[in-house]
Amino acid sequence: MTHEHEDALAGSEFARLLVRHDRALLRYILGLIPRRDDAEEVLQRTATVLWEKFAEFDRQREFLPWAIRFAYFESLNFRKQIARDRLVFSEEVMEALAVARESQTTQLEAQRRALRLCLNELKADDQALLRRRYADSETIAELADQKGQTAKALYRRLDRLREAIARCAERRLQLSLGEA
Amino acid sequence: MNDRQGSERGEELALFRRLADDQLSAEEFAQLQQRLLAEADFRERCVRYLDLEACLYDELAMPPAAAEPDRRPAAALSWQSLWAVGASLVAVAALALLAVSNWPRRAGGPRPSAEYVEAQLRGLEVAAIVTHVEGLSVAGGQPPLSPGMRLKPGTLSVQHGQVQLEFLGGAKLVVAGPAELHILSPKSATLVSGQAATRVLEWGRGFVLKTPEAVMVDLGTEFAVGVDERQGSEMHVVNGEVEVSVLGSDGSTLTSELVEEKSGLRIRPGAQTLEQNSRSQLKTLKILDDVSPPLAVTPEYVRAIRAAGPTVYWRCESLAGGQMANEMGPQFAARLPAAGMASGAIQVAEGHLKFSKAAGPRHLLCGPLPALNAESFTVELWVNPEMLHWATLVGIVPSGDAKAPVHLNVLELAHQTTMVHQAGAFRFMHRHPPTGRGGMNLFTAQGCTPGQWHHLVAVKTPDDIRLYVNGKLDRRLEGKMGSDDVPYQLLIGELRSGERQFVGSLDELAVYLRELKPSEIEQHYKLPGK
Repeated sequence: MTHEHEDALAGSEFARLLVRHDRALLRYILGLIPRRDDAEEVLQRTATVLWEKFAEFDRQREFLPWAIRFAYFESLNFRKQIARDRLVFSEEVMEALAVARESQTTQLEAQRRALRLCLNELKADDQALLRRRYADSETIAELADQKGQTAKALYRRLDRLREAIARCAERRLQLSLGEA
Repeated sequence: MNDRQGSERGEELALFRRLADDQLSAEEFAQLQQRLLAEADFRERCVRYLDLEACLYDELAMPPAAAEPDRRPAAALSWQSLWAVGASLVAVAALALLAVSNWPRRAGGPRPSAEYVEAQLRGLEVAAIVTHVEGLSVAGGQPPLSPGMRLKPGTLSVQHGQVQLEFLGGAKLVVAGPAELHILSPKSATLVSGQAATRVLEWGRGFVLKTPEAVMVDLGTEFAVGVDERQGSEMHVVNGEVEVSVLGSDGSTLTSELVEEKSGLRIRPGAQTLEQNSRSQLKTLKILDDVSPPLAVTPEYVRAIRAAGPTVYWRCESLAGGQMANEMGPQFAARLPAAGMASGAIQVAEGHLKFSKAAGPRHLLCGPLPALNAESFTVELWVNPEMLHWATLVGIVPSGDAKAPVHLNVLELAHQTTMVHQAGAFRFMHRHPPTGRGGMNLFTAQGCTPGQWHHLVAVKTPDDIRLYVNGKLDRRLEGKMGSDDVPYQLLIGELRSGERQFVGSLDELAVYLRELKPSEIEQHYKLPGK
């Protein structure tokens, strides 16, 4: 097998693993760097480092825990770069959050499942509004204009929806933990 | 959760939202960091909230199932194509669509009135049977749920209408939409939202109904429960007693109380105590025992049975003087063997026999029937069990001593027996010579549906035994099935005195001293009016 062929195979495998786990990686990074644009930047950097280190990856082990280690250090590195420009968690807080996240793996999975059920309970127009805000990234001003509402009213409506979703997910999470 | 706690929680959620939206001031951010370092619970809640926001974005940002993603297989892509100049997370997300195809389908049309989603675990067994539905809208030509459906653990959502279930562990439960019920096992369920009423059968004691705030363990009872996100859980005991536990955040009992008949409780979200609630606001939900209409027996059916030449044909339309006449002649009427034998427990209602539970023996007796087991015979009947239980429909015993623990045959409803079979299966046992043990058994492949009429035919020949359900052969066992010229009696409705009492309805019983042909059995089942 030529080097080019080996590279191609490794590349395909890496792509497959990354595609499979990139959402989970981004969620992890958002837990340390809540600002979405910054988190996506860190994900890009993490992916680059992961490819550079892919030859060291033990195929017998799970990809995500291995990748998360690099995501953590890339988050710390990114933090150092931007700390002067904007609000970002200190290293101490990041470490505490990372530990807290690791201890809640089961709860976070259950919360994800709960969220889907909670979203299904929403009225159709509430779902549509959320989708346009999150998926289409329409600005509040644009949405408000289209709906003939003030931006303030729309913000309040979105906040109420997000709070309702959060409470629903929390309730279902408690329920599922009680049923386990 | 009381108002103050609710308000604090609301403020905390607002804080987390603003963190996610990058809207905190420097001072607020500094205070947040201090709390994150100092308070473990706060830190855990923050982690969960940030993950929730991320998941919300994932769930809403994925396009609906109708969208056609790039169909290039992921394996054909090299990492360079992923990270080419200008490659962005959008490209990675598009590739993710190739590998992750479990986006839940969001229906563009109206939501179904009820839906059931089975838990995705291997090895799950049936926990409950749908026995009655009401007010469910029809979609695609049939209602989403129908009587007879077997449900394994999963989620039942009812938007409107009512669904009644019988749990295999011995409870009847009706849920009224809008409601969500998690079916956990044959003996437990969680009412997540909405209202339900539960009646636990005598042998189903210990059935557990959970709500987000509490666990209710039956102690032989009927009770109603309502769950509301803001108000919490409310329950009212109609009959018997219920042990109610308030759950702590770890899922263990914080406090518990025995609730008596005609009493009620409320448990508010986040509360650690039970409130007495004498004024139930729960709407009355009726648990139905008799859910299917009586058999509409037509003259054509009667003619067909007569033409088939049974020795005994009971139409079950009269029990005057404790006797049920044989349509085929003056002999072989069925009778209540002793005056006053729990007479109220066997009645004729709407053209069929209705059997209720009794403290003492109650059965119909017929015979002796000479030459019943000379070669072949067939027992044919229609049965509608009120619930799943272990019960004898027809027993064939040597004449002379109805209490003797010996049987040639039993035709039974088998549930929670000492044998291995499907829950609620029909059983036909042949034992020759008739003793108290052994014999050969047939169990139907599927269990019955309580509240529904079933056509049951048991055939014995010298070479096999067969069991037909609803016109079709369900089970057959070949072998030497002993014959003799002993006169036998028929016991209807229980095994021996007071044991395995059948509770439900029987109709159109016929006994033939030959094997009915499959075509005849199918014809009898399909005749108009059934």
